[in-house]
Amino acid sequence: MDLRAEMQIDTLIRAMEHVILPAIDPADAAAQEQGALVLATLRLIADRLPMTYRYDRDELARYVTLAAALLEALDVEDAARRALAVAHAEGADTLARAGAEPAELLERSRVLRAHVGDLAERVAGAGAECDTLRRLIFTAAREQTIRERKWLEPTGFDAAAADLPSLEAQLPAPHNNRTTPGGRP
Amino acid sequence: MDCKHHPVPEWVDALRVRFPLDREMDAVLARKLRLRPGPAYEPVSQARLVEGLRALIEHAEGKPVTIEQPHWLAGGASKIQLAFRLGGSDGRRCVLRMEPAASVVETSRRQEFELLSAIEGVVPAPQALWLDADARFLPYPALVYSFVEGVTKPPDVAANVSNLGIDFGTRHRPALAPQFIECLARIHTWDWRAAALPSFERPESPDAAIVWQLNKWERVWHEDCCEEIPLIRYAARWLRDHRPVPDRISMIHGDYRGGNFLFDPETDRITGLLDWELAHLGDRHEELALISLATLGHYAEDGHTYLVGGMLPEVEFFTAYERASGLPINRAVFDYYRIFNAYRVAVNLIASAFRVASAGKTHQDVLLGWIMGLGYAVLADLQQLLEET
Repeated sequence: MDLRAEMQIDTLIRAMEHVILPAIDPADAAAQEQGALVLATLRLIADRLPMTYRYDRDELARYVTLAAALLEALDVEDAARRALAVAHAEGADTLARAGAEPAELLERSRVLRAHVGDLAERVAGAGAECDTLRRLIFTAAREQTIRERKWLEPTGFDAAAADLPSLEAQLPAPHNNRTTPGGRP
Repeated sequence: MDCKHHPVPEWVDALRVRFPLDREMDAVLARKLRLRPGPAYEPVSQARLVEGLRALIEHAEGKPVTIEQPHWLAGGASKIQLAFRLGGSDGRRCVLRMEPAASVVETSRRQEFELLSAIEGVVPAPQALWLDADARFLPYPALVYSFVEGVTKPPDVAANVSNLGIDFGTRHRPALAPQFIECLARIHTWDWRAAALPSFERPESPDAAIVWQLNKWERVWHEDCCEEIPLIRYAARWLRDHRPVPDRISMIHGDYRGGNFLFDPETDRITGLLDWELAHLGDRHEELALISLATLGHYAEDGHTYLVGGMLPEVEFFTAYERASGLPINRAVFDYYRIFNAYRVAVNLIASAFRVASAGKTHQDVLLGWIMGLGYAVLADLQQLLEET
């Protein structure tokens, strides 16, 4: 879906710069100040949002490293050390599974979309021999549009979106690969 | 950002060859890509526009003019609009309609001007006054037409983004609906061949007009889309393979709906049809199917009767149209154009709105970012319609 936060925030910044801030009453000091702060905050978010995942991963890496060093240096085996060891092992496991950058995920989807798109165009021009492919393409399209409609429900354009499954149900959190291998829940 | 923000000439030329269009639209889309790497939209001051208007009108009229009472007009998602009054004894109220740096729908000011001039007296519409097709006087291509009195929605109805699905209510609907249909019938039965429309290329074969439309929207998809959507590619091919040969080529308004006409809220008389920029030659069923889009209508006060275009139940609407126009509605052709319209609206709202807003090219990118949300609802309609074929 192309309607992403990065693009939306940029449009908010331009609306603030070009339309809203110039229209605020110069005599209203509080409105002027808060208008400027809204713009500055949006710029801060726009600048940092693309690095948020990298930041979170760096944060986890630093604590995994620190915990490993602390465990190495600790010379007593007590409850605190055991708790730290468990947290360290879980953190190291999560870190090992958090390798791909968000941009890499998007790029892999983009490539797959392009190849599936080429195939969909061919299937549209084919006969009944491609009915299985056609069914797969339509099923995927149906499931994806249900997700997009729910995602965009707050825009108010799609009254029926209220009856669709929640995003929590449609976007399950990734399961730990060790306990639930393969398949979507 | 992806490379489509900086299109190379070879890619542009390849698209022009692959998707040939009528001359004017080909030039419009080629210009779009030529300007795309250029600067983002910068706010244009009223003073700059007033100066450009004065120069444009003085050049056309050969005498000094003054521009008075300029003020911005809201509404629409694509063009910059400034209302003003001509000074002195003239005193006419006018509207400047100018493109931004790029537009969610790239259209021709020349065609819009020609059509407004030619259709005067056929249906109520603003009078075309002056044209700056090549941005000689104003920052971007523009036209000026007469100001038309009226409102786009009842005064007591809350504003909606782009005025989609306006509810005219029981107070205004009974009077507006017959006029809405009568004007549509007049446009579709208008003898455009006898009109002065030099920039509208005549279709040379029975299905040339629909082929141009299919080429246009597929080309726009490839020019503007960020991520591929397989369903859009499927639809493009399906529409080509199943295109009907029209029984008649009509002038199509292209965006005929509530919000794009003005009416007097006291008398309920329609005073002007607006936003002719998407007008083109084509099959009347295309327009009828567009009006029937779910987002352009709503349910009546009883909660279960759907009103096409916010006007009448479907059967009554189409019966009235057939009576007014003398033209039959072919259900199979209508159903084809339902798919076509869902496709082209999805292309427009998902690909073009993204492309323009992400490059900061307009005066209301925040609005484009918002109405992209509608594009995905339309995409769901497209999926359902295609699956039912």
